[in-house]
Amino acid sequence: MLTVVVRRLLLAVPNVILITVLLFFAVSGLLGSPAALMLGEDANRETIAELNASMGFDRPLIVQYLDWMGRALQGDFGRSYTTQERVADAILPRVLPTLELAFLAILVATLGATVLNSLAVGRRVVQPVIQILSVLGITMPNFMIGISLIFLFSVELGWLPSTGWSPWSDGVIAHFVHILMPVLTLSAFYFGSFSLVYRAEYEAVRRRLYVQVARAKGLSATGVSFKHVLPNSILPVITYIGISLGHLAGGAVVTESVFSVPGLGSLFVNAILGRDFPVMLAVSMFIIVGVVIANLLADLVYTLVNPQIRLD
Amino acid sequence: MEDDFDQDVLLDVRRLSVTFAGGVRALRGVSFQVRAGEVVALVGESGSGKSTSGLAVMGLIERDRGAEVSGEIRLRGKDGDEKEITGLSERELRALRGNDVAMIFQEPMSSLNPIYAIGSQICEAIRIHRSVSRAEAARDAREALDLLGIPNPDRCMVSYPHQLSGGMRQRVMIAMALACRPRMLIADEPTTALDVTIQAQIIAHLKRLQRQTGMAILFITHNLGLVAEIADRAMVMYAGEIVESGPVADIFGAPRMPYTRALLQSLPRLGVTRASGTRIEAIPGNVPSSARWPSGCAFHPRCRYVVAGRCDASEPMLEACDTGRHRVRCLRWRELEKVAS
Repeated sequence: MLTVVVRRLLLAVPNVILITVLLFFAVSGLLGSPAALMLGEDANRETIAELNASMGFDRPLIVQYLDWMGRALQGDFGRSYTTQERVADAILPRVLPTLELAFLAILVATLGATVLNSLAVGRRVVQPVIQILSVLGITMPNFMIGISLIFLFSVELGWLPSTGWSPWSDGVIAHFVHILMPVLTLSAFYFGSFSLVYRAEYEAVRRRLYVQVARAKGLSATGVSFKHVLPNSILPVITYIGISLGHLAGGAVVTESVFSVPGLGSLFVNAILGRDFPVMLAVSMFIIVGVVIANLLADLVYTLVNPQIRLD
Repeated sequence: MEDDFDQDVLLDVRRLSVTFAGGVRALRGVSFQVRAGEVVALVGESGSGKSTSGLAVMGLIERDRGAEVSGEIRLRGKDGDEKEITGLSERELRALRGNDVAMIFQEPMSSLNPIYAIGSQICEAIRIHRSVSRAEAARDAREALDLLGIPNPDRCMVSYPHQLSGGMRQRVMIAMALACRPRMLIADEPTTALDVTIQAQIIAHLKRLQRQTGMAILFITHNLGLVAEIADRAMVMYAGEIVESGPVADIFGAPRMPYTRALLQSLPRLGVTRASGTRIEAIPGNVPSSARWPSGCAFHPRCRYVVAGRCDASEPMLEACDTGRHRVRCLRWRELEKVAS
């Protein structure tokens, strides 16, 4: 097991290198000279050249990349062009809100899709309602769901704050009041897609002979559903979670912007808007590493749920 | 029913009919009894309604999906009370399933949940009906596996289904079915999916356990060879009806119903070679569709003794012949007695 984990992590290394190389070269080409960006349009050529030289931007890109990577591995991601703040200091406090948002969104989507569908299968009223919700979740764009929720719960009903963030230190209730709508917004798509995957599998699994055997033992319908059908139907959902993680990072970016959540996503959007190259690179690297680790976790969970599957 | 009714009767099925959604009439007025400690075989081709009969006794016909069940199924429970299964609520049925009557199925490869260890699946069966601790349930589960001659029960307890062979899994299924010591076991083609050598082992175990515990078995099969091996009495089903029933010796020695005769003739026999002129005789045609059974005697389109205007016009009843325990559903059985055998 441990060797598998180590091997998977080592395999992630070329992934991280490839993506950062692509990002580094593409973004450098697009943005042009960083010094010109920092100094503004009025700066004259000499000062730009001087700054470029002093910051090492006149070196070949490959040298710059290796230099950046070398520092990044030591935890030094450089300074933000716009705020002059150290990038590591800007990122670290924003990691937890994004992680929490993403984790809760996947949790809500998974529990919602599995439990609600297990209860609903075969019920005449509930099942269509859940199906409609699933399709809405898949088809409505993330930001539109967010704005609709704000309109309903903040503007019309006034139950929830429209934007902003409240850290854990402000109290559990305040925290959840603020994180509720972002979580629902981000989870909507996954709830919808997990529902479709889960329901198809559930319908197939509940026709299996061992489900009839469980009924023949005298187990109740709910017991059969949750103990025998659900754990066997959840496997494709876990696979799907693994696939969704990269996509989830993108969804988090949009959701955080809509609700002004101080996470990596909004930092990333601001970095793009301000052409803040070091921040963009550092956030991308964090997200890639996060996705790789989460993927590995999904695979490990898979082996826990299904004893027939071994990682090696 | 003029059949002798006594205290020994464990299962008494009367005029049982099952119609599935879409008008499929799987069972049409089936009546039979199983006495305590008796092994009764229910024989027939696929589609004849034998598995449906087993599921109906378990109360596992899904009425919420449009299936209709009529008639009576009386079962004497372990507490001695008689229960009428078609009239029970789901809750009452749950108390009965696995406890008073248990069932084993045809496919041992898919009868066990792949994600739970064997031990926990047997313990589940025990703890549904008896309020015992996990440790006690595990001890009983281990004992049940031991009873089935499983070589290393402790290892089997922690094994997952995919680590066991088909024969081993069917032993586990039997151990699980018998864990609550039901007085009635329904065995639905328990050996069909297994190799012949394993088949013989499973049958031997079933026979031994039946003798040891005195439980009754309703043995559902299409394999006439197994019937002779295990059963005291046999009932032949065709098109959702019982067409012949009686002690196994009578059914094999003096079959009355042309369908039963045809079934027996379709068995390969040792010592009879092609050169001598006799061939294995297949029954022409197929089992008719259960959505529309033929008029008159359901077997008449395939029967070699069919008389037009008679067999397709009036429905035969199940009549007593010979000793009275032997019954046959055929309009012409008296005439045919002279023709054949």
